[in-house]
Amino acid sequence: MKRQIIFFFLFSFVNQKIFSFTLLSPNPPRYTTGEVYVDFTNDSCSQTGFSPQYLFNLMEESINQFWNKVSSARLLLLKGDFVDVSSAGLDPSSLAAEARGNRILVGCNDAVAAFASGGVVAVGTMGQFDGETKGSIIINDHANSEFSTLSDDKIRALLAHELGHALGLGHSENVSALMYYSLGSKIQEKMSQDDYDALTYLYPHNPRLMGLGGSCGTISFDHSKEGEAKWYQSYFLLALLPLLMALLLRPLF
Amino acid sequence: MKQTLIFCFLILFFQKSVFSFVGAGIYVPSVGSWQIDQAGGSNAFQFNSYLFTHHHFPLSAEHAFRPGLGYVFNRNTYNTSYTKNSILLRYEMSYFFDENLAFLYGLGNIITEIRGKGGLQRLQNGNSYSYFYNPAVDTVRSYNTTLNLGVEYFFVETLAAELSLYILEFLSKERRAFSYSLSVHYNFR
Ligand SMILES: [Zn+2]
Repeated sequence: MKRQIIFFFLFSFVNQKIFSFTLLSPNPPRYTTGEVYVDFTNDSCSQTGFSPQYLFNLMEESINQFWNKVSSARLLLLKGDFVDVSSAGLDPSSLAAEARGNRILVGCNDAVAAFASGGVVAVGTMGQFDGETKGSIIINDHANSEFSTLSDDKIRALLAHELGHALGLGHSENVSALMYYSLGSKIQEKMSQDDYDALTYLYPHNPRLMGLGGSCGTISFDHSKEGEAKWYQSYFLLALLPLLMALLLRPLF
Repeated sequence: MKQTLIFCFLILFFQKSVFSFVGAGIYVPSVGSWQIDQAGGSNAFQFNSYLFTHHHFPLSAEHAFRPGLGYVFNRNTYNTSYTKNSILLRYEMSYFFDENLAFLYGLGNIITEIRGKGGLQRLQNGNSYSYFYNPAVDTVRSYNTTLNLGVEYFFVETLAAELSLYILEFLSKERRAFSYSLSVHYNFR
């Protein structure tokens, strides 16, 4: 009876899960603050059909709808400020270099080569500039831009996808994923499991705080140590030690 | 710290009516949090096999301390860039309503292990293709604290079924997530 039940539970599962997130570089630089602000340039964004203020508000909604939902990751994205920088003529890397440290800068221009076709509505990237991690997103403001045809729902998903790149993520081959290369006609209201796992991989919860510390802007995490954290560093786990010892030794008495 | 550990050790060690369970079942992570298709559907059910053991330390006629350790195999379908497993640590009390039915409550930890496979993937990027990097071959662990609630039903003294709910990030409105497990366990006295 027991064997049959265990057998049943172990081997009768059906799965449709694709674990397929990727990264922009083998070990993308991490933002070293628990909170990462998203700033906006002073670009006019006139070809997008939306005012910069409107796009900035959609960005804030996007942050809260997507990346800020990951319970197993510590990173918190926040709406920042309008800054007095123009993205005119810049490619994504050059714009990222203009961002403040540990921040992501969003602008609109027609300078990115891929924008001429119109179908590429935004691009995002990140990197290390002057020793600080910075990210950028450029929205297609070319005369051919198809951005103006997008619904608010699509724009929120699109901005979240580009934020994924600004966090260091590449594409996923999972069609349900936010990081799939195209939104196409799909409805993207949530992220997939591998989007969640991607952010968890880059920004895991600290073993000392156990996910209870929240995300605090004044705490600077040393990401190089984060992945090396060992399970026995947890105080919670230590509580289990005497129990295991008791159980192991009990048969002796 | 050391004194506390020794104290716990002694208390547990001299319990006479302690008994242990082993069990298996399924674990369903983050219900409703993840999109699973192109129409915007989200996950309600997912088969991840779950093995665990827990131990029963009676404190009174109705109450018992019931710590446990579980392991979840997060299976996936094909061609992956990483693998994932979860370790569940459960520090729970059980309250027996009657001989067969117990209510479980307490705290726990879920440790999510993500192990990259390394290498590259060639994927579509805009109108062309680009190479992207799979996560490197090492293990990253993320630690969550959970609020646990559950019910346990004993068919006979040695065989029980359990439904448990694990609330991740229970202090955060935005990040709160609900996972659950369904399992059967056998107890050897
Ligand atoms: Zn992309």
